Amino acid sequence: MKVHVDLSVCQSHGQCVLAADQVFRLDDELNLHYDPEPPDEFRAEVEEAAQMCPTQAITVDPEV
Amino acid sequence: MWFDPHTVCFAEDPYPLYRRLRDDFPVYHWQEGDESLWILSRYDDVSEALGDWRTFSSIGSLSNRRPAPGARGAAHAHQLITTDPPYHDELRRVVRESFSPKAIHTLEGKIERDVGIWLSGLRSRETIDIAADVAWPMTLAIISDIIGIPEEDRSDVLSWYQTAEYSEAADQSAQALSSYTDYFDQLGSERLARPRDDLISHLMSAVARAELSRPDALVLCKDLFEGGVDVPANLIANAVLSLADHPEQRAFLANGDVTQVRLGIEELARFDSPIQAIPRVTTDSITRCGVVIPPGETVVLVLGAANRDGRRFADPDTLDVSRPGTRNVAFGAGVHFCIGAPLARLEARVALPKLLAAIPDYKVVAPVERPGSDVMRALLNLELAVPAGKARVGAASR
Repeated sequence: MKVHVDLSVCQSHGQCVLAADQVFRLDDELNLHYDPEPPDEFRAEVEEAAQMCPTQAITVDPEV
Repeated sequence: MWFDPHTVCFAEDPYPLYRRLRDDFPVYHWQEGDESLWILSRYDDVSEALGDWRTFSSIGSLSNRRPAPGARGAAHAHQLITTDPPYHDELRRVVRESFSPKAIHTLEGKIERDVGIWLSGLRSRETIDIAADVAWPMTLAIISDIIGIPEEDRSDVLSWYQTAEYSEAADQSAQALSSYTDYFDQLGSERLARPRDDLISHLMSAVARAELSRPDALVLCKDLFEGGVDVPANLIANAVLSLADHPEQRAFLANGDVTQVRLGIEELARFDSPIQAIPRVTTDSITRCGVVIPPGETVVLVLGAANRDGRRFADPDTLDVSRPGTRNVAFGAGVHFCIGAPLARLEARVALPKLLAAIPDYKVVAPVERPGSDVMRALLNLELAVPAGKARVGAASR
């Protein structure tokens, strides 16, 4: 699966990290890092992260 | 009537009721006279509704309910909690930098010093009102610094707010409300004329640039004040109460590293959430568990019930501050996710370990009384008995 985060919209609230810490991580400066092509087994977690993102910055399987 | 949405949040123990809602009435329809409310209580239902602002709208969601003090008498002002995108995002954009996790992160050192000062006042006390003497004044000082409320005015502003929000005496409440409203109006005018480096000046300069109406700016400022003092104060006070019977978990938090304490705070916020319920209005007909909710209906999302759902959290009624991190809905979710969550989390993360190190041993003096609210699970007072000479202020900080 593919994941895209619009980092110009991301506010580093960290809700995605709590939903899917296998895919999303905040560093000490609160910058978001993520795996843009996570394994399919994390799909449910990633979709929850996308749905719950306070700024709706996460897109799952974006149509290119 | 076994369930009354207007009194449940400040019931001594609403959790058995919540369990019955989740198990037997996951889509509960409450009706009394002309009033009709639907209650969602399962984690998945609440969480999905929070993530879907198009179907579960915030516009008009407070029409059935008593608005928060800041918005009373300002019926035409827009609030973050009564708007949806795109206007909601415009409103939020004006203040979001001030409350971003990064901005709040820079306050950590200052909050740490403030907590030290508040705790030093507790030395050698045998009883401590942890809510009125510590949690409320501490969160008041921090949010007042951000907004720009001068020190000498703060206790008045808090007392007006608490009376307006929580007093059951209607005349007192009305009088406090008018003092409270006038105060912010005057402070806004003052900062419009002589701006400073604070949030209210920032809001008033947006008014001067015609980016925001004056009523919207003032209501936003009051909402941020109210959320900024009430939510973290109750998060901390509820946490101290929840931890009263768990000395080993208190020690874990007093000695934990940042990550352990951060997750511990999430657990405490899950276990007894300061905000218990938030309303939405359906824009479409929806079906849950075979029940149809028509469009235009008020749906109350019971965050406090969702956070105790065994379908989501193993052993949900057990407090375990070492529980692995699982997202809960204590601060909501989706576009309306609490803008002050980073601040409330930071205050609790800094204050609680220091507080528990200073007062490692305490008993709650019964009875614990909660003020009336259909939203907040609040504690204005929480009297603790501390064994004589056991307050170790300054001795055991991390």
